[in-house]
Amino acid sequence: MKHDEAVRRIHMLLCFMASSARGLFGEPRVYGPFRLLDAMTRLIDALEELDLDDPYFHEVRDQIDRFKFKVMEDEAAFIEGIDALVKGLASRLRENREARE
Amino acid sequence: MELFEAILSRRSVRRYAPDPIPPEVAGRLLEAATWAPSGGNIQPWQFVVTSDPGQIEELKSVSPGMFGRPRLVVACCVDRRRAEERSGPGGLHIATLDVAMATQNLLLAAHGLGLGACAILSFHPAAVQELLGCPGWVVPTLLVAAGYPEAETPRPSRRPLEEVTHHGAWGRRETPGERGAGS
Repeated sequence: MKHDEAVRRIHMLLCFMASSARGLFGEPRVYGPFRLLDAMTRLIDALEELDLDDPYFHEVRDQIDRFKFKVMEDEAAFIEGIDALVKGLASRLRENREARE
Repeated sequence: MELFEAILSRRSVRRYAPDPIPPEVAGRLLEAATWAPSGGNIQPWQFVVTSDPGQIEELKSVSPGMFGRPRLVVACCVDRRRAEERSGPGGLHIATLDVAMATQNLLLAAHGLGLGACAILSFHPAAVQELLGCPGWVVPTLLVAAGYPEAETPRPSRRPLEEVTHHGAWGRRETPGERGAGS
């Protein structure tokens, strides 16, 4: 049952990504990065529902949710938000690696 | 709510509280939609409604423009068969405009009834047709996601009126009241 639910969640995420890919041909350029960020939060939602999540992913999702809708109003702030997100994700990767060493 | 206040205070709401929308409230939204203007009174619209959480989740997966957890989704569709039978090849364009006006009625009705709603154009029409079992001639044109708002939506910016209005001729910016004033 757990496996079936995981398959269903992943299937829906694939639907979202494919629909986004098609839609982006006729949508504003900034929707591309927005859709990728939205896919991240949807992936984290799916992991949470499948009990495969991690508190750190919740922080990432909250961080994205705080700035993602700036895409409509303030492109510079939106880009700043992405930069801070990537920097934080990379720092976390390094910290995790160092903890394993 | 007074009409002009409703027009000015309506927002695109993308975060919804878990409270369900009573069927009679949903019915009023749809009634409002069907009272939109329609070219030749053809009414080339069909509304496919769902409040089933599983179905809404599936619709969300093919609708990148749908956010949060809406309690109700209305697919506002053009009935191509009716549009083309009644108005010929040009009927499709008129039908699209009619469905857009019906959608605006629905959005304002939702706001007037205390709901939050959002019109969505970012979706895959064929996938929505598939998930809702629509025949080929019933084409989803806009989706409306609705629910009771989780929080207040900030007021968005609007272009100034003087930037988008012209009085009597293109480029003439003065209002009728200002014409001849002081001259």
